[in-house]
Amino acid sequence: MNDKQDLDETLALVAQAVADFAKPDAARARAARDAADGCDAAAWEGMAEQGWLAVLLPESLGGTALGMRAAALIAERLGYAGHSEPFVATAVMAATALLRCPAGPCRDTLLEGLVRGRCVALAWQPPLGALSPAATAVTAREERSGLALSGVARFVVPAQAGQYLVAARMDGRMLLCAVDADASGLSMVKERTADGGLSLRLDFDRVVVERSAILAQGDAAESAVQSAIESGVLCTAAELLGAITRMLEVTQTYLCERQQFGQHIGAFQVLQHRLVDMWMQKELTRAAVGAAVTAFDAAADAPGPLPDACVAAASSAKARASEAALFVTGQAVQLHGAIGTTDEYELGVYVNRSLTLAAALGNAAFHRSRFGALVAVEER
Amino acid sequence: MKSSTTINDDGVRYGVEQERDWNALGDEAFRAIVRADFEQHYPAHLRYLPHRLRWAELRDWYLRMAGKGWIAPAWPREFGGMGLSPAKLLIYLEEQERWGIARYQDHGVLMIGPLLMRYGTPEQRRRFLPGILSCEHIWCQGYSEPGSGSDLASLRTRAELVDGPNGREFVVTGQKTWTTLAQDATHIFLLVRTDPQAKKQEGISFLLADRHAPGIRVRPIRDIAGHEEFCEVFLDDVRVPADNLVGEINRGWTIAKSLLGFERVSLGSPKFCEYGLQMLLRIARLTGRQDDPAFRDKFAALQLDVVHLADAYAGFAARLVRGEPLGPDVSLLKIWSTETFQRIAALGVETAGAAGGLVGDVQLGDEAINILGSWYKSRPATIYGGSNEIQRNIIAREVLRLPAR
Repeated sequence: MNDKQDLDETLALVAQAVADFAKPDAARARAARDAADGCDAAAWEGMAEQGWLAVLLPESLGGTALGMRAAALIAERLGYAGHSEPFVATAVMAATALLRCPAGPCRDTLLEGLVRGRCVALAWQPPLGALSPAATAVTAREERSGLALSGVARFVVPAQAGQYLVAARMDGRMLLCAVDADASGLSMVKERTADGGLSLRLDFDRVVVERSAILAQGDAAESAVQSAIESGVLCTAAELLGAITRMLEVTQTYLCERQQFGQHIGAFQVLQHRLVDMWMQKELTRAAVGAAVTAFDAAADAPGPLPDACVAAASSAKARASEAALFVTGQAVQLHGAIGTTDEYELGVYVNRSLTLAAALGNAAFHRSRFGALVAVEER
Repeated sequence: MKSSTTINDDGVRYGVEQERDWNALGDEAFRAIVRADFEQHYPAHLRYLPHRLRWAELRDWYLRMAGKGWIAPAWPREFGGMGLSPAKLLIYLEEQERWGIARYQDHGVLMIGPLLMRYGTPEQRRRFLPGILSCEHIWCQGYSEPGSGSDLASLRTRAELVDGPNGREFVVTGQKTWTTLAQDATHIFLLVRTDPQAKKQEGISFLLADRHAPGIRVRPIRDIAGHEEFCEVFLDDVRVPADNLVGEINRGWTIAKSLLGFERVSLGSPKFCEYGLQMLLRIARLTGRQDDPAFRDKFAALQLDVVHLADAYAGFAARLVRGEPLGPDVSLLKIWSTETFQRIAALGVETAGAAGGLVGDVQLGDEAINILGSWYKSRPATIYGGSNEIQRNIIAREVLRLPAR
């Protein structure tokens, strides 16, 4: 018995528990989508009860410290089952950011709430979106009563968050501070994502933040936000992998059941080969996500900014997952024929989820380009 | 410390003694030994060549490998191999690829040896293994026929068992084709029809033959690159001793199929694609296109295609190291590696612009580079070893369980 075996066994238990909890159920997914906040509140509560929201946190903070393998595994299964609750946005991204901030009353309170299911959202993207924390379009200015924030943050999820972790620039330095959703001077626009969820555009008009709400500053703030973003990139790729797996399954079943011209359409070689091409993209996505998870777990305990190898691995996984998901989406709809375009058929849930996640946190084109810039091929 | 070759049930010492028990070394220590040997001894002008080399060019190197006992890394020690564990074998192959070592006509080591260990008689092993280990025997493969490519089981080369002057023997008549480097081979293994009445897979047998036996004629086929890597092999009343039948008569199809799995892993190695990316980058640099955003985008996409091939390959390799058998899903590697290589080679030709139509070593700036070499090499890759369409059929049927017509 060694640590690795222990971890493998624990992960197998987590995998089983998540699989029991999250099963494909299109009716449930549509009901969640059609709810006012686009969320299945009961499912979210269930995830908190299972302890999954604390999967990345150390035991000293009430977590299980199972690392990126566990987080990716949970994300993948949620993607497979059509769950769109903000596991990645909160339990991966907000939790990672907070974990990398120095301990303090504000941080610790946020983490305690997060573990129990109180949503927290990271806010850093400018109006046209960007992955780098330095791209933030929110600025902070010293005032007598604290800091005043002005500017815009877009693509803030989840919309039901009670607090935002806002990355702001002050005199060329980064800082990360906690802002309540009902803070004075803060207004918001809700934008609907393809999967029926909500994303926020926050407008800060001299929103005053007390100094005690500053979570981190300078390089510490920047590396906390960067780690959070990249972990989110990887786990979103894992969610897409789950969605791809389910779309493939649904299509496979359909080809085996649907009959035309007196035979199962899955017997036609043209359709068989197209399903194989979808399957290959799934397998490549699985390989890329697996390699990235290994890279992240290897660097998990290193302080400071995330190593370039992890950033490249996150891009590698997300580029493949986004491209594969949109490819599989298109093929799945086509192989189904007209039924594939209807909302009442299960596939639609995954089509819309794929569109949402493929565009979130950098699409395939963005990550291809970032990967190419980070990883040089050496001429021999 | 020397460790002697284990004696086997055949009562023969095969090959040369191994210097040591390689598996007792740590992975990195083993890697260092292999790497140092290749770097020190492999001829520089034979590294990373885009085409297959003839035996005359590779003879010195592989005779050295044979003399050293390194010719059959995967074979068990008792049969004269290095006896490497899967993990050590992967390291050996990685180092071979990393140093760009050219492959010889290695069907003897890759196919005939393992085949005889599994299905052969002790007498057959005593006759054939030593020649493979010493490189005195070079084997070529007689599978495909003019009318039997993807539908290999429809093959028509006949073999009739008769009483001859030297005892029982097969009389073989027919034609084989796409036989790689048959010109250089001393032996050929053949799939032949021994029962024309049986259902097509059930009347086939596996024979070993002397390539220079009377009645065998070889005609090289000139390919679109101008090379002569493939041959036609004509068989006209060729006499093959009955003792050269491997396994039972009419059971050759099962035997042949058991050898194909290996090809799908080895054909899926990322090495060709990694080499292709380097060539592509060189073409881009020499034509001043390396920073062109349109090129960069296409290049990054291919780079990721290769990285994910390597990620998937590592997954299959890890399964081999754990001792797990590989399933039909391994066809993924063959399909993805060969099709990615085609895309890389095609972008190389496109990037070269007007020079993309020049054959052989082409002068670009200060350097000479073979632009079309990769393109030519990439075309047969999706056809041999079971065409990619056949591989997709296998995945559709055995992995995705889609219905048959």
